Amino acid sequence: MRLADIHKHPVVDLSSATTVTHLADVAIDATTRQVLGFTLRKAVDGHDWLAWADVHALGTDAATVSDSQAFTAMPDGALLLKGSGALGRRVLSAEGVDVGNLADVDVEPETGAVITLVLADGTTVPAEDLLGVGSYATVIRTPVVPPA
Amino acid sequence: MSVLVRGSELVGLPVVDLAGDDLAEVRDVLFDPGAGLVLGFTLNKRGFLSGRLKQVLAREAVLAVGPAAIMVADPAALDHELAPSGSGGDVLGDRVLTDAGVDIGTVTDVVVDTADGRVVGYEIAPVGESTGRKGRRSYIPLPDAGTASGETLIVPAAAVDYISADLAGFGEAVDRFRDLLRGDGT
Repeated sequence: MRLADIHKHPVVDLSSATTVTHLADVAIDATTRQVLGFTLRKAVDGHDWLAWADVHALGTDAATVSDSQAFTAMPDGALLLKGSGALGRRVLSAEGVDVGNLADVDVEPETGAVITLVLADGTTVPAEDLLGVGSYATVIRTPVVPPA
Repeated sequence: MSVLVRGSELVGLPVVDLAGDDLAEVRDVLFDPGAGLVLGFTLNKRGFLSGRLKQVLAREAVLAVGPAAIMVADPAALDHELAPSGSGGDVLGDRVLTDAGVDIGTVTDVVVDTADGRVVGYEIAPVGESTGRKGRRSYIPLPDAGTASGETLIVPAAAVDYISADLAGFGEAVDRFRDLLRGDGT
Protein backbone atom coordinates (compact mmCIF):
# COMPACT_ATOMS: atom_id res chain seq x y z
CA MET A 1 0.00 0.00 0.00
CA ARG A 2 1.33 3.42 -1.02
CA LEU A 3 1.60 6.00 1.75
CA ALA A 4 1.66 9.29 -0.18
CA ASP A 5 -2.17 9.39 -0.25
CA ILE A 6 -2.64 8.13 3.32
CA HIS A 7 -4.21 11.44 4.38
CA LYS A 8 -7.30 10.51 2.35
CA HIS A 9 -8.00 7.53 4.65
CA PRO A 10 -10.87 7.89 7.13
CA VAL A 11 -10.45 6.15 10.49
CA VAL A 12 -13.53 4.05 11.31
CA ASP A 13 -14.32 2.99 14.90
CA LEU A 14 -15.66 -0.59 14.59
CA SER A 15 -17.48 -0.43 17.95
CA SER A 16 -19.63 2.48 16.82
CA ALA A 17 -19.30 2.05 13.04
CA THR A 18 -18.57 5.75 12.62
CA THR A 19 -15.78 7.73 11.03
CA VAL A 20 -14.06 9.36 14.00
CA THR A 21 -11.20 11.14 12.22
CA HIS A 22 -8.86 10.94 9.23
CA LEU A 23 -5.23 9.95 8.99
CA ALA A 24 -2.90 12.92 8.49
CA ASP A 25 0.67 11.70 8.25
CA VAL A 26 2.60 8.48 8.72
CA ALA A 27 5.69 7.86 10.84
CA ILE A 28 8.23 5.22 9.89
CA ASP A 29 11.29 3.87 11.67
CA ALA A 30 14.20 3.87 9.25
CA THR A 31 16.08 1.31 11.36
CA THR A 32 13.40 -1.37 11.64
CA ARG A 33 11.82 -0.32 8.30
CA GLN A 34 8.42 -0.42 9.92
CA VAL A 35 5.43 1.90 10.14
CA LEU A 36 5.28 3.27 13.69
CA GLY A 37 1.87 4.87 13.44
CA PHE A 38 -0.17 7.75 12.11
CA THR A 39 -0.96 11.28 13.13
CA LEU A 40 -4.62 12.27 12.95
CA ARG A 41 -6.19 15.15 11.08
CA LYS A 42 -8.49 15.80 14.06
CA ALA A 43 -7.61 14.73 17.59
CA VAL A 44 -9.92 12.19 19.29
CA ASP A 45 -10.44 12.95 23.00
CA GLY A 46 -7.27 15.00 22.89
CA HIS A 47 -5.23 12.18 21.36
CA ASP A 48 -3.65 12.78 17.97
CA TRP A 49 -1.73 9.54 17.40
CA LEU A 50 -2.71 6.07 16.21
CA ALA A 51 0.08 3.56 16.86
CA TRP A 52 0.50 0.76 14.32
CA ALA A 53 -0.19 -1.83 17.06
CA ASP A 54 -3.59 -0.23 17.72
CA VAL A 55 -4.70 -0.35 14.08
CA HIS A 56 -7.26 -3.11 13.55
CA ALA A 57 -6.83 -3.07 9.80
CA LEU A 58 -5.41 -0.80 7.14
CA GLY A 59 -7.53 -1.26 4.04
CA THR A 60 -7.52 0.33 0.62
CA ASP A 61 -10.30 2.76 1.62
CA ALA A 62 -10.10 3.16 5.39
CA ALA A 63 -8.19 2.36 8.55
CA THR A 64 -10.24 0.66 11.24
CA VAL A 65 -9.82 0.60 15.03
CA SER A 66 -11.59 -1.55 17.63
CA ASP A 67 -12.66 1.35 19.82
CA SER A 68 -11.66 4.86 20.83
CA GLN A 69 -9.03 3.49 23.24
CA ALA A 70 -6.81 3.07 20.17
CA PHE A 71 -5.81 6.74 20.14
CA THR A 72 -2.79 7.79 22.20
CA ALA A 73 -0.01 10.39 22.23
CA MET A 74 2.70 10.49 19.62
CA PRO A 75 6.00 9.04 20.89
CA ASP A 76 9.12 11.19 20.86
CA GLY A 77 11.40 10.85 17.90
CA ALA A 78 8.83 9.47 15.48
CA LEU A 79 9.75 10.55 11.97
CA LEU A 80 6.83 11.79 9.90
CA LEU A 81 7.15 11.18 6.18
CA LYS A 82 5.45 14.41 5.18
CA GLY A 83 6.03 16.44 8.34
CA SER A 84 9.79 15.90 8.14
CA GLY A 85 9.78 16.75 4.45
CA ALA A 86 11.17 13.32 3.53
CA LEU A 87 8.49 12.78 0.87
CA GLY A 88 9.43 14.81 -2.17
CA ARG A 89 12.99 15.38 -0.99
CA ARG A 90 16.29 14.12 -2.35
CA VAL A 91 17.53 10.57 -2.06
CA LEU A 92 21.29 9.99 -1.89
CA SER A 93 23.13 6.74 -2.41
CA ALA A 94 25.79 5.82 0.15
CA GLU A 95 28.28 6.76 -2.58
CA GLY A 96 27.07 10.35 -2.49
CA VAL A 97 25.10 10.25 -5.74
CA ASP A 98 21.77 12.07 -5.95
CA VAL A 99 19.43 9.39 -7.32
CA GLY A 100 16.23 11.44 -7.40
CA ASN A 101 13.43 12.48 -5.11
CA LEU A 102 11.35 10.29 -2.84
CA ALA A 103 7.86 10.06 -4.32
CA ASP A 104 6.22 7.37 -2.22
CA VAL A 105 6.72 4.53 0.25
CA ASP A 106 5.10 1.15 -0.29
CA VAL A 107 4.23 -0.85 2.83
CA GLU A 108 2.79 -4.29 3.52
CA PRO A 109 -0.72 -3.46 4.91
CA GLU A 110 -0.81 -6.57 7.14
CA THR A 111 2.46 -6.00 8.99
CA GLY A 112 3.33 -2.35 8.41
CA ALA A 113 6.71 -3.39 7.02
CA VAL A 114 8.21 -1.04 4.44
CA ILE A 115 8.58 -2.96 1.15
CA THR A 116 9.98 -0.40 -1.26
CA LEU A 117 10.79 3.26 -1.64
CA VAL A 118 9.48 4.76 -4.87
CA LEU A 119 11.50 7.51 -6.54
CA ALA A 120 10.03 10.28 -8.66
CA ASP A 121 11.07 8.59 -11.91
CA GLY A 122 9.33 5.35 -10.89
CA THR A 123 12.47 3.53 -9.75
CA THR A 124 11.83 1.32 -6.72
CA VAL A 125 14.38 0.71 -3.99
CA PRO A 126 13.97 -2.36 -1.75
CA ALA A 127 13.51 -1.53 1.93
CA GLU A 128 16.63 -3.46 2.96
CA ASP A 129 18.67 -0.84 1.07
CA LEU A 130 17.24 1.99 3.19
CA LEU A 131 19.96 3.34 5.48
CA GLY A 132 18.44 6.47 6.96
CA VAL A 133 15.88 9.22 6.66
CA GLY A 134 17.37 12.46 7.90
CA SER A 135 17.02 16.21 7.88
CA TYR A 136 18.91 16.55 4.59
CA ALA A 137 18.20 13.41 2.61
CA THR A 138 17.01 9.84 2.54
CA VAL A 139 20.07 7.60 2.18
CA ILE A 140 20.03 4.26 0.39
CA ARG A 141 22.68 1.61 0.04
CA THR A 142 23.07 1.10 -3.68
CA PRO A 143 23.18 3.41 -6.64
CA VAL A 144 19.94 2.58 -8.41
CA VAL A 145 19.60 2.23 -12.16
CA PRO A 146 16.61 4.14 -13.53
CA PRO A 147 14.15 2.09 -15.57
CA ALA A 148 15.14 1.95 -19.25
CA MET B 1 33.08 3.80 -8.37
CA SER B 2 35.99 5.77 -9.73
CA VAL B 3 35.26 9.27 -10.95
CA LEU B 4 37.76 12.05 -11.51
CA VAL B 5 36.83 15.46 -10.20
CA ARG B 6 38.65 18.74 -9.79
CA GLY B 7 39.45 19.54 -6.18
CA SER B 8 37.64 22.86 -6.49
CA GLU B 9 34.43 21.02 -7.41
CA LEU B 10 34.40 19.42 -3.95
CA VAL B 11 34.24 22.79 -2.21
CA GLY B 12 30.71 23.45 -1.02
CA LEU B 13 29.58 19.82 -1.15
CA PRO B 14 27.49 18.82 1.87
CA VAL B 15 28.89 16.24 4.30
CA VAL B 16 26.01 13.81 4.92
CA ASP B 17 25.87 10.84 7.29
CA LEU B 18 24.04 7.59 6.57
CA ALA B 19 21.13 8.71 8.75
CA GLY B 20 20.53 11.42 6.15
CA ASP B 21 21.55 14.44 8.20
CA ASP B 22 23.87 17.10 6.77
CA LEU B 23 26.68 17.78 9.20
CA ALA B 24 28.83 20.34 7.42
CA GLU B 25 30.02 21.40 4.03
CA VAL B 26 33.45 21.35 2.45
CA ARG B 27 35.39 24.57 2.93
CA ASP B 28 38.65 23.44 1.37
CA VAL B 29 40.52 20.33 0.33
CA LEU B 30 43.66 19.41 2.31
CA PHE B 31 46.19 17.88 -0.02
CA ASP B 32 49.61 16.28 0.48
CA PRO B 33 51.49 16.81 -2.81
CA GLY B 34 54.39 14.60 -1.71
CA ALA B 35 52.17 11.56 -1.19
CA GLY B 36 49.70 12.48 -3.92
CA LEU B 37 46.83 12.15 -1.48
CA VAL B 38 43.87 14.12 -0.28
CA LEU B 39 44.36 14.27 3.49
CA GLY B 40 40.90 15.51 4.26
CA PHE B 41 38.69 18.52 4.25
CA THR B 42 38.26 21.66 6.28
CA LEU B 43 34.62 22.39 6.96
CA ASN B 44 32.05 25.12 7.15
CA LYS B 45 28.81 24.97 9.03
CA ARG B 46 25.81 24.39 6.80
CA GLY B 47 23.78 27.31 5.58
CA PHE B 48 24.21 30.66 3.97
CA LEU B 49 27.06 32.77 5.41
CA SER B 50 27.80 30.16 8.06
CA GLY B 51 31.13 30.17 9.81
CA ARG B 52 34.02 27.78 9.84
CA LEU B 53 33.87 24.56 11.85
CA LYS B 54 36.83 23.71 14.07
CA GLN B 55 36.53 20.06 13.17
CA VAL B 56 38.16 18.62 10.09
CA LEU B 57 37.12 15.58 8.11
CA ALA B 58 39.98 13.13 7.65
CA ARG B 59 40.01 11.09 4.45
CA GLU B 60 39.93 7.84 6.48
CA ALA B 61 36.55 8.85 7.90
CA VAL B 62 35.02 9.37 4.45
CA LEU B 63 32.84 6.57 3.10
CA ALA B 64 32.44 8.02 -0.35
CA VAL B 65 32.95 11.19 -2.35
CA GLY B 66 30.01 11.56 -4.68
CA PRO B 67 28.90 14.24 -7.07
CA ALA B 68 26.09 15.30 -4.70
CA ALA B 69 27.61 14.76 -1.27
CA ILE B 70 30.54 13.51 0.78
CA MET B 71 29.25 10.55 2.77
CA VAL B 72 30.33 9.62 6.30
CA ALA B 73 29.01 6.94 8.66
CA ASP B 74 27.85 9.18 11.50
CA PRO B 75 28.60 12.52 13.22
CA ALA B 76 31.60 10.95 15.01
CA ALA B 77 33.37 10.98 11.62
CA LEU B 78 34.17 14.64 12.19
CA ASP B 79 36.14 13.85 15.34
CA HIS B 80 38.99 11.99 13.64
CA GLU B 81 42.46 13.43 13.98
CA LEU B 82 44.03 14.51 10.74
CA ALA B 83 47.07 12.47 9.76
CA PRO B 84 50.13 14.68 10.17
CA SER B 85 51.55 15.80 6.88
CA GLY B 86 55.13 16.73 6.07
CA SER B 87 54.41 19.00 3.18
CA GLY B 88 51.93 21.80 3.23
CA GLY B 89 48.75 21.70 1.27
CA ASP B 90 48.52 24.49 -1.25
CA VAL B 91 49.87 23.74 -4.72
CA LEU B 92 47.71 26.20 -6.61
CA GLY B 93 49.88 28.56 -8.61
CA ASP B 94 53.00 26.36 -8.26
CA ARG B 95 55.17 25.74 -11.31
CA VAL B 96 55.27 22.26 -12.83
CA LEU B 97 58.71 21.26 -14.15
CA THR B 98 59.61 17.97 -15.82
CA ASP B 99 62.65 16.06 -14.58
CA ALA B 100 64.13 16.89 -18.00
CA GLY B 101 63.97 20.55 -17.07
CA VAL B 102 61.00 21.73 -19.12
CA ASP B 103 58.56 24.20 -17.59
CA ILE B 104 55.04 22.99 -18.38
CA GLY B 105 52.89 25.56 -16.64
CA THR B 106 51.26 26.45 -13.34
CA VAL B 107 48.82 24.42 -11.31
CA THR B 108 45.24 25.72 -11.39
CA ASP B 109 43.57 22.74 -9.73
CA VAL B 110 44.17 19.15 -8.63
CA VAL B 111 42.38 16.15 -10.14
CA VAL B 112 41.14 13.71 -7.50
CA ASP B 113 40.07 10.10 -7.98
CA THR B 114 36.98 9.96 -5.78
CA ALA B 115 37.29 6.20 -5.28
CA ASP B 116 40.38 6.39 -3.07
CA GLY B 117 41.18 10.09 -2.59
CA ARG B 118 44.37 9.90 -4.62
CA VAL B 119 45.44 12.91 -6.63
CA VAL B 120 45.98 11.54 -10.13
CA GLY B 121 46.93 14.75 -11.89
CA TYR B 122 47.08 18.50 -12.00
CA GLU B 123 45.02 20.90 -14.00
CA ILE B 124 47.53 23.35 -15.41
CA ALA B 125 47.57 26.60 -17.28
CA PRO B 126 50.24 25.88 -19.92
CA VAL B 127 53.26 28.15 -20.29
CA GLY B 128 52.65 31.03 -22.63
CA GLU B 129 48.91 30.88 -22.16
CA SER B 130 46.86 33.46 -20.35
CA THR B 131 46.50 32.59 -16.70
CA GLY B 132 43.10 34.28 -16.58
CA ARG B 133 39.95 32.30 -15.86
CA LYS B 134 39.23 31.92 -19.56
CA GLY B 135 42.66 30.50 -20.36
CA ARG B 136 42.88 27.04 -21.85
CA ARG B 137 43.45 24.28 -19.31
CA SER B 138 45.31 21.01 -19.68
CA TYR B 139 45.54 17.97 -17.45
CA ILE B 140 48.84 16.28 -16.67
CA PRO B 141 48.97 12.83 -15.05
CA LEU B 142 51.05 12.10 -11.97
CA PRO B 143 52.90 8.91 -11.03
CA ASP B 144 50.96 6.92 -8.42
CA ALA B 145 53.89 7.31 -6.01
CA GLY B 146 53.34 11.06 -5.82
CA THR B 147 55.81 13.73 -6.81
CA ALA B 148 58.57 15.72 -5.23
CA SER B 149 57.41 19.17 -4.35
CA GLY B 150 59.40 22.11 -3.15
CA GLU B 151 59.62 25.39 -4.93
CA THR B 152 58.32 23.58 -8.02
CA LEU B 153 56.49 20.31 -8.64
CA ILE B 154 58.58 17.76 -10.51
CA VAL B 155 56.91 15.32 -12.92
CA PRO B 156 58.54 12.69 -15.17
CA ALA B 157 59.30 14.00 -18.67
CA ALA B 158 57.13 11.22 -20.15
CA ALA B 159 54.06 12.77 -18.52
CA VAL B 160 54.07 15.44 -21.23
CA ASP B 161 53.02 12.82 -23.80
CA TYR B 162 49.91 12.08 -21.75
CA ILE B 163 48.61 15.61 -21.28
CA SER B 164 44.87 15.75 -21.96
CA ALA B 165 42.87 18.72 -23.14
CA ASP B 166 39.78 17.72 -21.18
CA LEU B 167 38.89 15.81 -18.04
CA ALA B 168 36.65 13.29 -19.83
CA GLY B 169 39.51 11.33 -21.37
CA PHE B 170 41.98 12.03 -18.61
CA GLY B 171 41.32 8.88 -16.55
CA GLU B 172 42.47 6.69 -19.41
CA ALA B 173 45.56 8.87 -19.94
CA VAL B 174 46.47 8.46 -16.25
CA ASP B 175 46.14 4.68 -16.53
CA ARG B 176 48.29 4.52 -19.68
CA PHE B 177 50.92 6.82 -18.17
CA ARG B 178 51.16 4.75 -14.99
CA ASP B 179 51.31 1.52 -17.01
CA LEU B 180 54.26 3.05 -18.88
CA LEU B 181 56.07 3.90 -15.64
CA ARG B 182 55.54 0.40 -14.29
CA GLY B 183 56.76 -1.09 -17.61
CA ASP B 184 59.98 0.86 -17.23
CA GLY B 185 60.49 -0.68 -13.83
CA THR B 186 60.20 2.61 -12.01
